[in-house]
Amino acid sequence: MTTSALQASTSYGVGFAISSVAPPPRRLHHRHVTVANAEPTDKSVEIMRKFSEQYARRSGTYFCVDKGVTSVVIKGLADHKDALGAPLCPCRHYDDKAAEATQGFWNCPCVPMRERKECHCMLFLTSDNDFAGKEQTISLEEIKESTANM
Amino acid sequence: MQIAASIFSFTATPPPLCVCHFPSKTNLPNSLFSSTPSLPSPLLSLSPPRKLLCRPPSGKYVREDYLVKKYSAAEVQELVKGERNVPLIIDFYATWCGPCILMAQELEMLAVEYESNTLIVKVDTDDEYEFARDMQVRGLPTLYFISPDPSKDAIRTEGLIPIQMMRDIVDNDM
Repeated sequence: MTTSALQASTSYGVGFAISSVAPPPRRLHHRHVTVANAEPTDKSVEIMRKFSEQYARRSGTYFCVDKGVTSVVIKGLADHKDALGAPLCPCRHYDDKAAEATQGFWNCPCVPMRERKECHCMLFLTSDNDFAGKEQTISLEEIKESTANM
Repeated sequence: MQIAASIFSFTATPPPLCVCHFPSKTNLPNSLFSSTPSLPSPLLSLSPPRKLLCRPPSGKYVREDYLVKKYSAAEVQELVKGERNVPLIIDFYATWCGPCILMAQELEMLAVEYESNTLIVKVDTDDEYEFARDMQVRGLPTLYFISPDPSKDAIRTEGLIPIQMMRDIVDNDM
């Protein structure tokens, strides 16, 4: 399996040490921390499902052979749309989700996808990718079935 | 039956009540990876103990729960600070991250292969926001490989990586 066919695998050594000193006292300013809700609304899931199908067609990319991955990412986008108003990429960790949603770099379709067709969520895959299937469609039933036990 | 428990050396405590238990089945086709019995749910390891109607099949590789357990930031820090003689692998994931699911399946397989030669844990970045930020986690999934030898640097990978690469890192760099 070639690494180029898989999404980013940068490997580097970092000096790692857990400090034994107590962490500095937290400042008291209110920081809005948004966490994933239990389940996105059906309406958002449907919107993101339609968006994914349309964007896959437009960009000439395909969904993963494993539709479970596609389903989970679509639900992640729907969840962020519900929580933040914009479908922030679910496969990243952010310092401030609300700020990122306004800024827009990681709003799906994110800049790396728009510029280089790079989707590390494995939602939109170019045909040369090992994980790419042949489909550009996914039904709501498929999404619900794949994510039923989450 | 208490006698059955001792014969099979089943590690779970004998259930007090009789409620049937069906292990959650995967809904993902396992076309890419060899058999993994269930879809790893990031929330599963926090569920309360389940009551059993009938004793489930027992055996070395039949598990009620996942091998890779979800840890809190405090628990992980204890692990890192404490004495260890095996490599530690920390998987940072998020609930709705697709590649994290595939990575979790790979890590379960790795856990079966390496058994007690590595310690593999996972951290939910939505729960442990500050910890993920301190560890500079950006793309998901992110794996940290931490050697038992404190003089060696930790190795960090971002994104889905093939299981062979994980084996190579553990065998060669730890």
